Amino acid sequence: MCGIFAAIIKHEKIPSLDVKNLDFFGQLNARGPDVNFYRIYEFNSESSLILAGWTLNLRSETPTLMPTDEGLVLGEAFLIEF
Amino acid sequence: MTWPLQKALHVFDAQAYKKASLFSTIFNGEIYNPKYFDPQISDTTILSKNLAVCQNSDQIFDLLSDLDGPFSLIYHARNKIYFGRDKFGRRSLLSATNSEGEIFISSVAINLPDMFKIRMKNFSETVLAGQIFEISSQNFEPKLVGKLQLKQPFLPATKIQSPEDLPSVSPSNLVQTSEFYQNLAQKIDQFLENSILTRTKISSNIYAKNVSVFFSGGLDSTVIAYYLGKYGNFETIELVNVTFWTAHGKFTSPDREHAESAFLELTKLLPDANFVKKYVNVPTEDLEKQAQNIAFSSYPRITIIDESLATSLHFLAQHASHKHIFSGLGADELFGGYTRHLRAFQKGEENFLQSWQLCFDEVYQEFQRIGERNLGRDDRMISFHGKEIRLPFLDENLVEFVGSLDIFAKCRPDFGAKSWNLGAKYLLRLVAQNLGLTETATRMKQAMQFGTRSAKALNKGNKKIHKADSTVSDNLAQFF
Repeated sequence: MCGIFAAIIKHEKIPSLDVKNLDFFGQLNARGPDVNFYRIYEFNSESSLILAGWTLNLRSETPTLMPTDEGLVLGEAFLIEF
Repeated sequence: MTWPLQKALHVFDAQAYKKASLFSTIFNGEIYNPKYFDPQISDTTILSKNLAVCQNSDQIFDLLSDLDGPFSLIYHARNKIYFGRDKFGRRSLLSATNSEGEIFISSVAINLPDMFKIRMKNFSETVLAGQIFEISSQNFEPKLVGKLQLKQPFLPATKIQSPEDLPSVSPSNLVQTSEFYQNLAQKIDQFLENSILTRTKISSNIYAKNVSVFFSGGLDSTVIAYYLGKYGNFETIELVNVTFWTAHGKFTSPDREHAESAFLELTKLLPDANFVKKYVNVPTEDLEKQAQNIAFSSYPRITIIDESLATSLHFLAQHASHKHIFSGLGADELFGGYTRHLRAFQKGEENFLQSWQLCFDEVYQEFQRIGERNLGRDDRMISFHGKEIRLPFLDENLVEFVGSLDIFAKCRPDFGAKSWNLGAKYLLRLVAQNLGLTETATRMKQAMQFGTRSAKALNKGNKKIHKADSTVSDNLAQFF
């Protein structure tokens, strides 16, 4: 794992966001060349929560499966949901 | 322990909007405690498993307090998020807020789309080393949950009362020392061995195959390289050294000269270790090409001294061939290696207790500030290249042990300025001497920005360098 990001923003800005375009994250996107991943959640009635991360798989022998746009890949897990 | 069923993660749908997530963990770091180590699963999974059973903020804070290792994290639990950095601040975490009360937390400062009214310059290092904050869905004002502390706090300066109580050692060599120091040196040796092994471990019995070392040829980096050579089993231990072009010196530098001496010493002691030199000469045009990247990664640390150090780190990381990069950073703060530690002692004007107290205060404060002054910036510089730094001197067990020692056990400013090449980090020098690194053990410290000539290459003789600690660099400021 090499970089993390979170933002709490107004719901109405979500449709016009292009978080899939990694240019959105600028310099942050240089930090983990292996995999980028993000999620968007409802945080309260007015705001959304964006979570994003960039991984660098250095340590785990059998890394946790994690999703990307192409499907599941191996990497040091950075976002676990329950 | 009951363990919530992990939700299956499927192919991500960009339009998916998650309404019901109970827990999400984003963890940038490593966990070194054996009790949290499982060779089958990643640190993030182990941490998530433990976080998920926490019932409240206090339990989350207690769990994070227990972790050894570098990290920054953001944890989303029901209607709250928690975010923070490890005890020493080894991973960067910045934050920014706009006029609409929207909040942004990021490893590095970034320019966001115009609708957010957030530019790089809006990010600041509001999350200091060890601080854990929470934001609830009812109140977006970050609330400090607490500051992570070492399990053993630093002890006061000294218990001795007079010069006669000091262990008797020679101020002119490391051979005539005392049993007191030799016993401590043996313990440091053990701590360093453990620290190195912990930081190269990938799984229960699998270690990294190749590592790079930021290699100035000084005491700290040479000791680290020695332990990697002695206890690791690497295909390559790459020793990376950079020198910047200056009109006066061309591509010569103090660090290059020291690196060559230290390399010879290492290979003589450890002929079977696979040390490989990587000497990099950085021409002026490369400095100019990379100035914007350096400014963006370093932000919000953009003083003249930040620029010099960040520039050295940027090129060191760029040219390191491996993702694991070891550095001796932290040794000066831990063992008392800076000239200002000597100066603080001298301010005591020969009042024995006052002199040692002033020296202790300076060393202690230096260590407390290391996350804010150095570590966040250094993480940003190195991660820009998709690599990660390992800092064996900033191992919790080692730090707690050294923190428990009297100040005179770490350094000996009472030797005076002429013997500061022995008095600075005296205990660590003794460790090096015992390893057989006899030449390195007495080598005078060269600050990275001077050793690599980055300060000279950047400032071209600018007189402002003496105010480098507080003066914003014009070179970097132009980008914001």
